[in-house]
Amino acid sequence: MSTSNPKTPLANAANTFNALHAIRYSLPEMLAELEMERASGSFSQEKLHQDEIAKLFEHRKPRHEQKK
Amino acid sequence: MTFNGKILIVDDEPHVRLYVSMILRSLGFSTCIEASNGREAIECYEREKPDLVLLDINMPVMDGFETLKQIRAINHEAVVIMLTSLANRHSVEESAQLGAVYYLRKDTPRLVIINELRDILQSAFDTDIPAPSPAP
Repeated sequence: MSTSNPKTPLANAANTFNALHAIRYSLPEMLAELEMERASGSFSQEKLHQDEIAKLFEHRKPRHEQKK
Repeated sequence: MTFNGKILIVDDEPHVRLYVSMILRSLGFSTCIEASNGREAIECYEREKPDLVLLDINMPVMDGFETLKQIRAINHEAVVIMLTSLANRHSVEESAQLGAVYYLRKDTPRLVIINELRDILQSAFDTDIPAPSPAP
């Protein structure tokens, strides 16, 4: 008597494919989650030294213009 | 932008306002206007139209973020530097997003604060700010 094994490589691949589809996130959801995490998590409470702050403001600081 | 040498210091602690105004005097700025909270700062800003605002974050009545937002709504080119004891990433990023040109921790050495202020003012207004006179 022969019984077919449902755990064939093909069946496994199909299950993985379905699982991948099942956990799909939308981009806006992911971005909202990321923003919430950045604002409330330990990352946002990290203390920054003045040097690190200076790097974050590098492009905001007014720049010297060459005098003609 | 024309530089008139008018600077607004916003902090709820009088000794911090005194400390900052002493730094500014050493750079030759005698016209320092002071406000002890955000609402006062907005009134001063509209009345005096200062060239530079040094702004604290933790204040009663109106905090520094809301104040910054309102000042930038009045003048999109307002030059605002945050001067605060807060140093967490969220406060720094929020300030940058709202339009502050720079962010200084209050515990930054006096000489560094002086150099940063000189640098920003010289760049923003294309003017020469003389080196500070020695501390008394």
